[in-house]
Amino acid sequence: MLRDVANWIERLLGLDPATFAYSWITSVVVIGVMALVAFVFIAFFAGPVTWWERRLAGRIQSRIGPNRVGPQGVLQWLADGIKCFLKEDLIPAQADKGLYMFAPYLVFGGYMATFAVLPFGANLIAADLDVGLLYLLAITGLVVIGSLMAGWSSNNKWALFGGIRSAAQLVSYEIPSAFSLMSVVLAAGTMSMQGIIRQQGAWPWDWFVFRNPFLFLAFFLSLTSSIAEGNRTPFDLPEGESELVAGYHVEYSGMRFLWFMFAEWGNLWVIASIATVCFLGGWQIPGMSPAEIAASTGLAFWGWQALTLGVFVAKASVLVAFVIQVRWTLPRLRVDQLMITCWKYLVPGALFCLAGVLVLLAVVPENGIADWALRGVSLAAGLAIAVAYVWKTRAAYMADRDLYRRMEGKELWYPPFRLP
Amino acid sequence: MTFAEITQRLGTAFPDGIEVVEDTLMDPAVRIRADLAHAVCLWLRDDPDLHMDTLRVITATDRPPESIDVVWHLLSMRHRHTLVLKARLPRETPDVSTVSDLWASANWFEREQWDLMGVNFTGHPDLRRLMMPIDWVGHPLRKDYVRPDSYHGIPTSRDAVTPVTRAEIPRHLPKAEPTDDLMLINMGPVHPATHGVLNFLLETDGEIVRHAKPDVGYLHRSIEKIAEMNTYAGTMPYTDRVDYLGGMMTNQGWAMACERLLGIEVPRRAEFCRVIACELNRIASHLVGTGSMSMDLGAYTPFIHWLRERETINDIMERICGARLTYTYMRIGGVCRDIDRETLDKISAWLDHFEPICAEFDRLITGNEIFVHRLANVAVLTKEVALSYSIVGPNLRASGVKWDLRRDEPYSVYPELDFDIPVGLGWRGTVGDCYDRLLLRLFEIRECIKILRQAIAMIPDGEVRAKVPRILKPAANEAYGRVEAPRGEAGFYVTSDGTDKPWRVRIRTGCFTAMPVIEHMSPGLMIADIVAVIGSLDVIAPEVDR
Amino acid sequence: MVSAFPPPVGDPTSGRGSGGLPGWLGNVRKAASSVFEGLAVTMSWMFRRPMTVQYPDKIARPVQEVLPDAYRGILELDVRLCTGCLLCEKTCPIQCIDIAVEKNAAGGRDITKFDIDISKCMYCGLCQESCSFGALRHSGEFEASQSDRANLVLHFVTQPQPIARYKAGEAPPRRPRGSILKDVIVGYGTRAGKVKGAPTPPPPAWDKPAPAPKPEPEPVALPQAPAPAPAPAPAPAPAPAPATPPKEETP
Ligand code: SF4
Ligand code: SF4
Repeated sequence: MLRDVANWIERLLGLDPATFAYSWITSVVVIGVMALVAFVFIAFFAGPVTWWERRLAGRIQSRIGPNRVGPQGVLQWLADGIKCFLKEDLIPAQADKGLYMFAPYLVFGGYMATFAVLPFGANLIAADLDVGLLYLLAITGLVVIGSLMAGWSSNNKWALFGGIRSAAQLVSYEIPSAFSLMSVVLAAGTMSMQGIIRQQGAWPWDWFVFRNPFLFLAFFLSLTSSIAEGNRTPFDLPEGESELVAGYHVEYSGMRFLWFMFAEWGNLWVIASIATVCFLGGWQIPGMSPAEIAASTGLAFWGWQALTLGVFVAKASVLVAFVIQVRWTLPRLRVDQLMITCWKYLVPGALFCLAGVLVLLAVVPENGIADWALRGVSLAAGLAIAVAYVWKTRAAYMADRDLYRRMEGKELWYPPFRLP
Repeated sequence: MTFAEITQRLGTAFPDGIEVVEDTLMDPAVRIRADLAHAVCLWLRDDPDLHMDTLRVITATDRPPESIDVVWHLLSMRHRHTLVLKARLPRETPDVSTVSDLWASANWFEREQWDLMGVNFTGHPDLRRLMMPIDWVGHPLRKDYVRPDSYHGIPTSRDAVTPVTRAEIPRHLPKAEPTDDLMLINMGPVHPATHGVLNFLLETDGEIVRHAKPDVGYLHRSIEKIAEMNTYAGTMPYTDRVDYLGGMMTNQGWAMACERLLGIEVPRRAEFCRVIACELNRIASHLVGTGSMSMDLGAYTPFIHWLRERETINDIMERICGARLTYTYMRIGGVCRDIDRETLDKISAWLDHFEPICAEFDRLITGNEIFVHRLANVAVLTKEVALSYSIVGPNLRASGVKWDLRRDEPYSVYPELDFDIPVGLGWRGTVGDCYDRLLLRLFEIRECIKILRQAIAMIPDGEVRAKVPRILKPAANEAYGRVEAPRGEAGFYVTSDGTDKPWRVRIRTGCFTAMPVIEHMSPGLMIADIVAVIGSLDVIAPEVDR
Repeated sequence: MVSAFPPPVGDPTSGRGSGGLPGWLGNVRKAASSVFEGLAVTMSWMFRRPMTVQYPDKIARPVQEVLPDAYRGILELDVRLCTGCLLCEKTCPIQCIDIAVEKNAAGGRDITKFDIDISKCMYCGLCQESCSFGALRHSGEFEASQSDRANLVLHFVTQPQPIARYKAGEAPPRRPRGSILKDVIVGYGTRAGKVKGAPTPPPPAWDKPAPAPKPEPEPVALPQAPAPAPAPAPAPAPAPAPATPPKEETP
């Protein structure tokens, strides 16, 4: 694809790609431009989500959250970014300079590379690799090296703790994460991201999450382990603020610190996107088969792309909100409990799901009565959870409503769309 | 056992041991021969009928020109009787035998008294300075102490301060050599989990802590010394600063000590005002304590929700006394303002709203399995250790000892009020673990609600302030005012000398003894547990250092 | 509603790992259900009113106006009421009140200095209680950030003020709470951050009630002291006309 674009540019300049001697220059330029585009793209995903997280956290904690920079504070992330740009880049005198300076890029690079295989729309994917999922699991390994490097090179004991915790955690949680995603791979029969999406349908009962109870379980296991891989509460031990101050990036400041933060919030989208692709049907639009989208041309084609992008982002946003909510609800695990959770609960659980999916694949014919029964069971379970959730939420609200009104003389009702 | 019986038995056991039986306004006191101090203490502790299992506080009082008095306050938790021992030491060679081998709490008490008063406790295992820097010269609480002009070239007076230029700051501190493959880490003085400025020197083996050494004194504001230089009434604002989360109780402790010295009767309405203010303050303090503990464990939301509730308490406090944190509400002989009906109604309305919020907090965090697993069976503080370290307040009750000054040394109008004293039962693990300490505070909040409801219903009409002279000059005597503060006992031991300023003030706080016990519990914990332990003991630095 | 509280006493399976498949499943169930409870609580807050007060700009009324009367804000002296008894100075535990009283030519006494260092003051209220004349009071004011530390010493008297003498019960009414500080705090009413440099303190304008358009009704009643002729006491601030125009009521 890269070469195609380069050839196209060379032709545009009136050169013959077959004989042009300096074609590497065009390649480099194209790579640079594409990296920039990708970066801006990621920035527009990772940036606003910081604002969103703070707003959500605010409401959860009965606060408002940032609302001053730009309308309702939506530009807060830009202001923060600029602030970080302008800050002094401190390098501890006894740090290992080279590693210290390089580490943030490695972490950021690790996350940025995952965006290459994330299918944001029917054709909006940088590279639809045959081994997309495997690539995804592998490339996040870069993050381990990066955070370990940051922790080690800072020459700070708290940072070292953070780095080592991070390495242990990421390496451990790769396993349940991979296993639970492998159930999906089994069900889909492919590792390509687009392939997995095409194997599902647009309606919830076609999604893998509601395909059978094992995949339903695998969805939660996968989400849990990817939250752990993303270093988010309750698994934020590498940065555990009250224990390690800030963990592996405790010494970082300015722009380099920003790279870590970029990676962290960009990763929120990675977590959500993986779950969306593998379990929630990706960008599929109800009533429109992928083949039809692929067959369309011209304006219609781009329209479909935009629509699929919208569907994908909407699904992912719900998950992002969920992950944010989890973060602001739960306390943090301890190191040994982290490992216990992984090895005693998640890994066996994921293996169990994998085996279950395998058995079902062998036993239950697709679209048979048994298959639909399994879908029905999973769907019912999902619905039951949702209903219980709404009911409990309402109960918590009602418990306070009248007493609050008596105390404050105001109504308690203040829905999320009401702006301060 | 009554005081007379105790002295009689003491006299039999040590025929020439008792010098004088003193008549003071505090617990009965006997003065013993200084060289017998250790033997008497050992006997008192081990005699099955006396069984003085707790050393509450050690105080040294300078009496120039000839002597320094050392005072031990003893308590038997089993028999519920107290005794005060005194010994008079020559001022030139103030040597007395240590009792740190009898009670663990003596260790820090003696270090502090050595540091500030220069009493040499012979045989003490580690007689280093506690509050002052280790290379400080002199003992600041001595009456003839002269403040040095500078310390390491840093002027000690505010006017003489000149900015230090960059070049003078040493670039690198010498590296400490690691021992035994252990890693030395300073947790603090500025660390998110140490509430206030505290330092723990951790020796860790990976994540496992082998030893945690608390280092205090960063917030030492020498309130004891300030009180000596101030009038009785003028010390009141300083008592707020002893424990910034429980200012009402420290106010009350000071007021009670002074009222005992002066023989002032507090009007009944004032006592109810005090109880209402104190219980509100106790709730507020427990909210911060349990909330910040959950924050230390990574859950921010409960903390903010608790702070929101505390905000309403602060608003109420503002109506009661005019301040949100440093209350200075109590006066010697009463309180500074009456609580009006509207405020009482506000409190009632808030209590109604607060009760469901308590249940909500439990659903949000107390019952959370991650939270439970982080705390249950972690850092178990057994009854024996707790008594030996003279742990007080909720921490002691969590270890299964039913001891609450509001019940056991009743003061104010608490005897008229109906409330329970929860004790640790090992709700999700062992008696005395971190989870018990947390849960006990949550139960206490519920008891406070009960007390508040009753007090609001019972509050009588009348004056809120007794007539007291403008200048207070109690006769030379001693008094001890103890109240049950959120972190245990807030004790003010005041010695007067007939002037308008106290001769010696000794402040005993709950956190001071809770601090060394962390060192005792630390081996084998993980770093994250240390955070939980600090949080569960509800240690705040200013209260340790004063 | 399932409440997780109070927990069963001595539940043997919680807090420590229990063996066997039932224990394993029990742990999973407990973890899942308690996380679920927590999520429901946090979700309910998405629909509940936040507590935030958007101080200082997006509020209905200035905070000073909604504070209770008991609030102990910055101290405020009504110099017309002060008898120069120095009790407040003696009472203050940290000596942050500095008063100077001198004999004047007319045989009376002048207050020449009444400074309160609000950076030292701990707002304890002891001085207010000691002032039996009601001259010294805590106001509801708390906004006094300054770009220069020297400005934190409030000068309530800039020119010698004859001490008023009046019988008990005949004291002139006190100025409204907070109105005196408007003239004493440097740069009052501006956001401290926006004050460029430190403007010179405006001379006191006792004779001109700052916000009110109509002249103050009562100052004439003041010098009813038995003393023969202590001049029309509080009025003569020999008019170095206020450098700043009277401030608006609300910031
Ligand atoms: S409020 Fe307290 S500290 Fe401030 S001036 Fe008055 S007495 Fe002094
Ligand atoms: S302010 Fe009150 S206490 Fe102070 S000198 Fe004036 S009249 Fe006396």
